[in-house]
Amino acid sequence: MEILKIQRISKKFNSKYLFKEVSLIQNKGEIISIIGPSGIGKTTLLKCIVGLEKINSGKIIFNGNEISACGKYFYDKVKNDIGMVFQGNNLFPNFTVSQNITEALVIVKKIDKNMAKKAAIELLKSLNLCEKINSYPFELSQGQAQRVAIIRALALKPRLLLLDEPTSSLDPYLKNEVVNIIKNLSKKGISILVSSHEVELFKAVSDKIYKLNKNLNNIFIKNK
Amino acid sequence: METGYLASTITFIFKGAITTILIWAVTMLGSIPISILLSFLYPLKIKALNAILALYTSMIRGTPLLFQLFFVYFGLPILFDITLSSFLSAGITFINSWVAYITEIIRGGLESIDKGQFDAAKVLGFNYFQMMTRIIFPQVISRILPAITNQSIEIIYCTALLSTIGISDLLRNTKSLVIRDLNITPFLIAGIIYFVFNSLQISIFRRIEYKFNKYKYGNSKDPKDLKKI
Repeated sequence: MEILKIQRISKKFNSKYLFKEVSLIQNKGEIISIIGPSGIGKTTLLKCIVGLEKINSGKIIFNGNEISACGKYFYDKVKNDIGMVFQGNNLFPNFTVSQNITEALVIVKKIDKNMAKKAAIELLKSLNLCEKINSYPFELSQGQAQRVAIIRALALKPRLLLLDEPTSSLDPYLKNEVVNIIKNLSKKGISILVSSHEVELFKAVSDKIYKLNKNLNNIFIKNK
Repeated sequence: METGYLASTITFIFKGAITTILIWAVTMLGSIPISILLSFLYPLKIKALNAILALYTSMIRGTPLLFQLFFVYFGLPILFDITLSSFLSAGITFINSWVAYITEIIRGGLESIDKGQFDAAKVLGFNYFQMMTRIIFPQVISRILPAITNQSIEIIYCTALLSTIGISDLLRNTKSLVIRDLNITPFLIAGIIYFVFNSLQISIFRRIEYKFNKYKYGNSKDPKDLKKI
């Protein structure tokens, strides 16, 4: 079953195309990697999917609903079904780990505070971060911060999780740890779209690999 | 020095001090909420609105406070037949002026926040108001508080201009006593009042700064840790 369908989308900045006619199909529970060198538009592509950037042409269909068309994004059709973990993790520095995870649950999803905290503890336990629950982001290592960012996105129970360069600032040990987390999430039925320039790292774990091509700015499928 | 003379001198100076503090309070209470509201409009990136705000802040910052005070007090009755009391003129002028300065300070603070914070908040589903009040603004406050403290102190200094429209502020009352008695004791008393009030302000703002900066030094309870920031 298709969860995400990108149909010939293009994105322009100041009349210059960043990418053109990009297409992609993702089935439920699949892990897809988008690879390509830095500056090719991988992050922008993910931002287009989640609605932070608007596309100039084409269509983005999520779970059968068109969520983005030229210059428009229909947030009401997404409703936290798409989560995103950013390259720099973007944790809120003024919140503790617990608050980072629960704030959206309480404020956006209107879940009871105690229930939200329980959910946060469960997720933190699953990624061995329980002792950091009251720490502030600056007190975390990069690997821990990245895991907290993943938990924050997961807490909203997204059906599709976008991960932007999740391993770019991690050491080799932590890189493998993140890859394992991705593998486990996929087993739980969450569809995952990863952007990375580390081809080898995600080769084994991905169901499909797409490459943003430097010359044509098109996406090509590479089979696993 | 006679005790009676000292008591009457202090009473007269204190009357001026109360006026000064009243103008300070009116300016702070009036300008901060308006500035926050106006600065909330900047990230919306509405070109026409931002242009109007930029014009407003540059007009206010581009003219002396005394000019603005004279414009409201002497100019409005001539131009629009609107006559305001000296205190109301002072309040309007001061609020108007500090709104421009504080809005610019907040705007600077907003621009210093990483764009990723806005993106993360949007992706998590926060609406604009929730994002600004819960995520962005607390981070901005911790950055702009030293500048706001300076602006607050500046209000006290600028109340000295109010004597030009007949308001008996701290400095005016003090000066009239000095001229009358040819004695500088009132100046010393006024100096102490200025110093004590401003020190109090600095201390209060420092406490607020500590509260909003707490996340920068973890869970330590010691305000002295603020020095480490």
